[in-house]
Amino acid sequence: MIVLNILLFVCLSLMSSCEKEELVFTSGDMVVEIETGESWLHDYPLFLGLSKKNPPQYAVWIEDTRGNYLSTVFVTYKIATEGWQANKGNRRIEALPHWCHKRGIVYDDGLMMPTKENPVTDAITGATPKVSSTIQISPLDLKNPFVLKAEFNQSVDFNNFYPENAKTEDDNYSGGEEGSGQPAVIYAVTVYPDTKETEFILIGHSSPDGSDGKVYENMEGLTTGKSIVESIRLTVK
Amino acid sequence: MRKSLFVLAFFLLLAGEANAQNNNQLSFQFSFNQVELAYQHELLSPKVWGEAFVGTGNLDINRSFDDLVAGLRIGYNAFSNKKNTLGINAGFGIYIPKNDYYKAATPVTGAAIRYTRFIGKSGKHCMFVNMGYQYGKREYKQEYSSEIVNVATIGTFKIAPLYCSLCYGFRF
Repeated sequence: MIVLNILLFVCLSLMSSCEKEELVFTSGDMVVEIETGESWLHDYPLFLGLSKKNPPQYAVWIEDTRGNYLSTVFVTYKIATEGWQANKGNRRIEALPHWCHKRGIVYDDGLMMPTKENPVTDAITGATPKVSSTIQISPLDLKNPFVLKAEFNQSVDFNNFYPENAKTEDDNYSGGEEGSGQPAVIYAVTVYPDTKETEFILIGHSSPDGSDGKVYENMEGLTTGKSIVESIRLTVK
Repeated sequence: MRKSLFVLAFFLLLAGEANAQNNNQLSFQFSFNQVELAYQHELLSPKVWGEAFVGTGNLDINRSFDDLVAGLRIGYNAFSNKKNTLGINAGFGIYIPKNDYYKAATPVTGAAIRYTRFIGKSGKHCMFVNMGYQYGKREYKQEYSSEIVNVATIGTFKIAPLYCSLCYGFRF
């Protein structure tokens, strides 16, 4: 009984210790709050009819108002490191093509998606949160106005408009069997010197097959892709 | 480093065989996310045992079996006969993810049901299944600085709550 009591005490002590971390904001800091939408978690098929809930891949970055890339703020691990476990050599160029083209780094194989050998090092690389999350941005040498952008993509998110069996030459081809399905969606907000609180706006989708870095404004054909994110709020402290 | 730990643990456990009375057990436990080497010893009564374990896991961001896991369990064999044992156990430990992106040593606690089937006439070998629930969650802060911005965010490392391990044990 004494042993059990000691064990219980140790367990409770351990569980209550240092579980929480906090962001500390100072004046001028920006807070980006990504609120998950109803399609944030998507069924990814495994085997025997089993599936698991996968969160999307995404990147958040800064551009100037002329569209020049300045800095990535956050990028998810799989994108940053080619960290897919079963991509079978598929480089998933259709995952975040707008971010890749804005960043403009071409890797050894001629593609713009980071590789295992040369992962992203100039941003926070993190696991995709399964719930809403917050990013703190403290400007150092950042001239207002500037643009914050975010691009989100869910893999195998096929629908009638972006089907799994689309051929490579089709306009709606999105990477094939292990591809994206619906293309990545792009959100943006312009931050002015007097901005205190604003919200990112859905400005379009990326190239379905990842062949270019353009923003396509026609959202016809996107269904669940539009509800990956509920909202992205920006607050200046 | 981890390999050395395993070797050290293994030989320490083998050294204990000098006092063999079949109330010690060395086991290898395999689950989807964890591989463990465990040493079990009878405590207080033949039905109660304590177990120390050390192993590797793959629950962090890189999904490689390079995380360190270690802890203690205490168990009670509720039903047993010559060939079978059914019992419960509870434990605590620590899970230390290893990756280039964050540090989040996470305390873990859990409880499980263990069914053991002894193999052969000597009763020295057994197979067992350990199924249970565990809890471990830890927030961590990530930061990045460039010439134009400092960036910070909070991530959460969480232990997979349900587990089922298949195990082989050698009693001595």
